[in-house]
Amino acid sequence: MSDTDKEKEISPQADSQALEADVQAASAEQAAPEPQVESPRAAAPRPQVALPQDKAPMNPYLAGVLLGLTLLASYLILGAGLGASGALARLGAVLEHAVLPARAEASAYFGPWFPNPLSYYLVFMLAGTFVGGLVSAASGGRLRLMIERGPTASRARRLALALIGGVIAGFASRLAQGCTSGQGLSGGAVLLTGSFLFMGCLFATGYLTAWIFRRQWT
Amino acid sequence: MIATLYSTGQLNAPLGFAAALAIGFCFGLCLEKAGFGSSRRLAGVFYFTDMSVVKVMFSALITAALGLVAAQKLGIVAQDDLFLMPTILGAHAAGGALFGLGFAMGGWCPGTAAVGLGSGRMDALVFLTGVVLGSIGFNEAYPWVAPLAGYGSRGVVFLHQSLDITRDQLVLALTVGAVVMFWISEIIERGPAIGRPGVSRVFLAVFSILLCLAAVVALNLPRLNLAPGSGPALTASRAPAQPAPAAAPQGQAQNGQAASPEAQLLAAMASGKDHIEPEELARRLMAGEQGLTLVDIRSKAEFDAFHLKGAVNIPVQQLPEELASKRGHGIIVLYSNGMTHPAQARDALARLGFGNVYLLTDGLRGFFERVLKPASLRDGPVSAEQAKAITAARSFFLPAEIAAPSGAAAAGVLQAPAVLPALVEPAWLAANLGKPGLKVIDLRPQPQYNGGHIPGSFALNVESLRGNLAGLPSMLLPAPMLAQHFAQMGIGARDLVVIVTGEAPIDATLVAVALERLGHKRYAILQGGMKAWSAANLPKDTQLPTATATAIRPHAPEGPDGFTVTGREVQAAMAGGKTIILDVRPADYFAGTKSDEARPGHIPGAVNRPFTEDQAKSGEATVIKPREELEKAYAAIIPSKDQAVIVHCRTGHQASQTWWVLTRLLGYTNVKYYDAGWTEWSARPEWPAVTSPKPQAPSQAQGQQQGQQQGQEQQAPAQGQAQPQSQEKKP
Repeated sequence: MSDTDKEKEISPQADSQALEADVQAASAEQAAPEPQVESPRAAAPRPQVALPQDKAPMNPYLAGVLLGLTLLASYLILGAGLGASGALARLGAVLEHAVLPARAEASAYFGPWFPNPLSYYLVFMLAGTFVGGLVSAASGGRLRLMIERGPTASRARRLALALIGGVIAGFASRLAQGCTSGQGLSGGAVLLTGSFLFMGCLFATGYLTAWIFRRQWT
Repeated sequence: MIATLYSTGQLNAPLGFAAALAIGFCFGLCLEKAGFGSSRRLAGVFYFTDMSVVKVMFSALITAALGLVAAQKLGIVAQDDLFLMPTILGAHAAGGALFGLGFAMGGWCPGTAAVGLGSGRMDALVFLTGVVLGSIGFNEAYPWVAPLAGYGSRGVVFLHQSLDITRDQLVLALTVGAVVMFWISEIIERGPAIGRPGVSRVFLAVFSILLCLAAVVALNLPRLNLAPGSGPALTASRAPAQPAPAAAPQGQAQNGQAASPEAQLLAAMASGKDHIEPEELARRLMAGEQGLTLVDIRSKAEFDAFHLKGAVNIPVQQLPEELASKRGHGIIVLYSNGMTHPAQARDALARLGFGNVYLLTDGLRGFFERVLKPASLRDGPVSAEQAKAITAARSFFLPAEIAAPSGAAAAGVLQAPAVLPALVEPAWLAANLGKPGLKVIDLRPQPQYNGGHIPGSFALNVESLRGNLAGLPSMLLPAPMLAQHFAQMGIGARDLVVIVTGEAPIDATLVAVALERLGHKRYAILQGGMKAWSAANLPKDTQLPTATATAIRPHAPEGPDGFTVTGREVQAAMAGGKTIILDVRPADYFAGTKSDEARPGHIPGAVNRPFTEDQAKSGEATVIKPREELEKAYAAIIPSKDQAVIVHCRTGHQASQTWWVLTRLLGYTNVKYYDAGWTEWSARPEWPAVTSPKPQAPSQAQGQQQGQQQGQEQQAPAQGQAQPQSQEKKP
């Protein structure tokens, strides 16, 4: 991302969302015009999570309704909900197969997916998700190559936490047969008991442990 | 009615991939637009600085849930056509807890990280790498984790069932709950807000009202009944279009643990992964493709009688040696008549390192049906191009004398009822008898069957579908055993089964429940059974039918069938007090004046509606009463179509009729079947039982006894035709 791009970002935003914003929020936004630089807020009682000053995203409720309609379409067309972690597990199977083919094929969990672990609808869905994100970010001026972290957090800390968090989330999503998308959102929309149990436990540990990891955002 | 790609087995086929790609694109777009290409925004939910996660997730959840409720009520989609994940309490609780930790640490979840990567975030790439590694870790740890992964397996359970409320109540509560959370989120965010779209109070108020209004509208939509006889135009196209899902192997133990490798193998096979479709195989063979090894694993005699051009005949035991040189080279396609043996062989070969083995979907039978069946015998319209392809395939694969189009055979095309399952009249059966794809099962005792039966019908003793399961007698057998049973009779996944009973409709409905356990919905019950057939002077013969064993589609999601409940679940429902327990035994058994079991009486709070009240006489024959009459009768007992109901009798035989009437004829959506019934309940002294004082003369009870109860306590969930509530006695 070039410097000129960044300067464009710095200019105060005046898109339609900003107009909708109430006075408090709008003034708060303008108080922190620098990208990636946390405005000092010593009086605030809780850890700050500053956000880059990109173009403001969409009204979350409308985005949620659109997401809900996408999920509905998924159920009506595919007969199954949205999902993301399933595809990554398939990638894992391919990766293990590349290194230890016999072990992967004989393994209890990955084994049945062979010979073609990637011939699976969720793999295509994840590819679509990536492209959709890319297109939306590029068109919305939010595409930037960066490691997202707090202004004083080190890259190493942030990346280490992202990696370990990923490993844990990957393991957990296999155990729970899905992640936030497949188990939480999609299962929740069809009112499955397991999905609500999953979400409840997810937010419980999320809130219990987030404090430990706050430094990466400050 | 939409036939989803899942229901037609095309989820993992090119069409499914294209649809998944498009839906994934929209998914990514929505997530990014919501601002979820940023980990700090996502993590913000855990620090109360940015509640977008809550707002977006619950707006989406409520939108989709309301949409699905509406779609189901309007008959646009059937619940059976959706893939619903079974609940495994241990796995979901532990998985959720761990996932929350990973989410808080990493600042991403898998879907948003894909979007984050699309937005250029390198921490998302690292997180995704972690998820892949974590998945490999799970695979490696699987032998140790497997017990937890299956702990607390409950089958497909809905939250409203677990909470013992109605679905409407739950949806309403969720909507209101979401609105409350939105307001709390906005209040929390009033503090420091950076880069977050502001939402005005006016907007949120309007949004809250619209959401609640949408909920009220969705919940009050008229239910377009999918039951036979009332099918609106929307549902009409369904039955003939029902495709052939891949048949999965029988005989392999289904151990009920959804995550076990065996179950996954079954699921993978059922979903068509590593299958080759008959059309595809025909195209490749006709093109003379090199590198395709086609193996016929049937007996030599069968092979000599007919085989696909280019096939070699290898007995199953010799497959590994004979195919050794082909391992990893080109593709190997195995076929037999059905799918069972090739699937087992494929499994064995896969474990020997053969990664290039494919199964012919639906076997030789499917090949005949889909590639070689003459255009004139097909259900749907055939384009000129398709007709040409069929003729070309027939002349390529079949001997000349068979390949020639025969005019005589073209007359019979099965006219299936528009909606299945259905009740059919003898005239319909007579008109369709002998047409391909129709199988008739005669449930009368063998001496009567031998004396004359509907031409081509098979004799079946209903008791052969039941046995002792874990100490409980007269239980409907597990799905794999039932599948085996029907397969031996030559009944395939696409066959329309017509069930013909001798006397009692309950025999027919018990077979219906067995088919339902397999997910086989292409069946109909002959109204009035054999007596109605005889009364109409329709033809009979004494010939035994011929059939070759085939494979029927076993129940797609492994594990429980979704409608059978255990005694423990009934006990929980009883304690909850919100489920109507419908005891369908004769009134004197319900009252406790008669008993063949360990204890007399009934489950406290149960409502009695003897199964015989759903029957009527039509001449000699016993028939199921007209739909309108039953509709009225049950409306008086069960307040709404999605009210939770459990039906039971003594052994599950009589209850099968009430279950079928409620779910398939009247369109009740939440009726469960307590198979073990009073036999089990009465034998567990720790479960309470009550007896009622003699209600009225039991002998004249059947038929018309509405409204004349001398009930004692009237606080049952429904009164109407309900039998008097009993005097509670501590057991």
